[in-house]
Amino acid sequence: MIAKENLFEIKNDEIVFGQNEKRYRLEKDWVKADASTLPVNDCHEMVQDAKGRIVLLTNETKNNVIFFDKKGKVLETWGHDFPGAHGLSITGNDEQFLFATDTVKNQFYKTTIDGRVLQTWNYPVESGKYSETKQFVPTETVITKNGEVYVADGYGIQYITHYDTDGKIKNIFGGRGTEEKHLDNAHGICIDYRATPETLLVTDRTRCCFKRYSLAGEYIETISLPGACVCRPVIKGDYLYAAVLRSPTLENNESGFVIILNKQNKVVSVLCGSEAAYENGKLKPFYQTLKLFKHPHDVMVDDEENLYVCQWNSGKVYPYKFVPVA
Amino acid sequence: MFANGTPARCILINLFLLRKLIFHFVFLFFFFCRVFAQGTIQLAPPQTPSTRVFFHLSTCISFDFRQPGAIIRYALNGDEPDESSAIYKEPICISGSVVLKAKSFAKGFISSETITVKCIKTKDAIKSVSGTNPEEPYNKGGLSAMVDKLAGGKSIRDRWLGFRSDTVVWEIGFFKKQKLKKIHISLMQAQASWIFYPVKMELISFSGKMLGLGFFNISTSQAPDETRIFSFPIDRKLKGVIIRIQNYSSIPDWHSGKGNKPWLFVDEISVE
Repeated sequence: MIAKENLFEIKNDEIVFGQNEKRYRLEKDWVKADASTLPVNDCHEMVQDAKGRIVLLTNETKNNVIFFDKKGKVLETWGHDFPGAHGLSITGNDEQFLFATDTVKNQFYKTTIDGRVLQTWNYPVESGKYSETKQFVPTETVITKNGEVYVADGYGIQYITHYDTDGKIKNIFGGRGTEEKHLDNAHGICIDYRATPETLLVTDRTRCCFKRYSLAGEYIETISLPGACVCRPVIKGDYLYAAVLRSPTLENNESGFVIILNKQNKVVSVLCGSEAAYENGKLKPFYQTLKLFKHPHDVMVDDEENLYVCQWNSGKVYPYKFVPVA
Repeated sequence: MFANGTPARCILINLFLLRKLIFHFVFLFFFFCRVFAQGTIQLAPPQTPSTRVFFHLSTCISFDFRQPGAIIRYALNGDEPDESSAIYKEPICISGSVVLKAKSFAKGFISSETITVKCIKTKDAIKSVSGTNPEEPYNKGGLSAMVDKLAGGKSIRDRWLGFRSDTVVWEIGFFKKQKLKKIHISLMQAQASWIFYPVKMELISFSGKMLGLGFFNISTSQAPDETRIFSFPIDRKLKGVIIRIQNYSSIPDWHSGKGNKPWLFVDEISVE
């Protein structure tokens, strides 16, 4: 499909990114910081804490964790010990905790919100699947409401390890392979609270899809997004958001965009990528259309529905912010 | 001097106009700044199934760019497409060899880089190919996939053949002794994936006569990923040709994979 000329949506003199009910204007330079004093390297993941602060995890050891307010003011930083800082999750209500993975140190951690490490997990030797540290390169964690932990070994041997509330291994599933239940680049994981009963969504980035499993690790379905090498699934409200690192395969540099799916797994909006199009009931491959992003690595949606996109290997830029338009 | 009051009123009116002008100037300045800021985003190029197309009689080239507000313009004569070039509406059908170039355009954005599609009308002359075999996992279809008139895709796993020996030799047999203009060999360079262009390529007749010789630039730093067709003029009657390729014996020292054997990636050989 080729669109007619000059139909780029412009609102109040600004470009509108995305389509349908998920359309945004860009605030590229919303962060009020000086990169010489507050450097970032790869900006891997973000969460929002109970105080409304935007929490960024970077593998820059001068300040691994940076807290911003929604206007981009830097509030606080901590962390010098995570050279491979990668996955960031938040849990807890009254008292919140962060879970961070380190792909260089082959570990993941539970910390207080202000950076005190409470617990460290090494490679899951008790699972019987791992024989040495370097096989375990954790990229993401997710924590259930009752405190159980799943960790995705996205750069290692691709297992999802499930720990109980005492930190003991309860189950292990996924792993590298060619069957539907297997994973390749299991980069992210989340709990889909929209589903009844709740399920897990896990990234298979090489094969451009998310895979759904029960909380017990049984494979349920594949949500295929051809051409979109998706990072972690992020659920906010009824929608699933994901940064697409590269397209149409992981071999193509600086070709990323952001994709948004509704509860029925239909793609409703693509920021800087091709609009969803179906052929014989199947999605046509996605590709980058605007070279705004290089390698988007995570998205975060705040309590006001603003969308933040942080990037890997993209010139050490701060995250970009997108504000919804009516 | 100000007896009738007119000059004073003029000054007042002029001051009023001046303030209005300044206001408009400031407004326009900020307006253009915002428009200019939008114009710093570049469009990505249009999509096409392959940038190398081999065909026998005729073929149609399609493009896709699913970005509302953007259009594709193209040129068939090898020129760079500009704002006055033809607008792409439907697949472009051709019956001769052409270099087709296309770009994405949209108001307020930097136009995309050019995508070049080299379309080669080939002669149905190749009967057989034998010699060095491709290696796993890049050996799908074997050597005959190299002369099936189907270009490889964007992924290295899509119809590309990989070779790893220091020297690669193929014997290409024609249906009959015939006069041919050119022989084309289509290669990939993707150095991050250890895929390198070779050092040297030779075209030799069955009687051992050197028909063509090509040297590649010595690799001293990371070169951009690309696929490219290398063409040898023949212009003589032949029953077949031998292609001999010398690869790097190991990946150069500047590369993180130094010391390992590089891959030579070929998707198609054709004659014109």
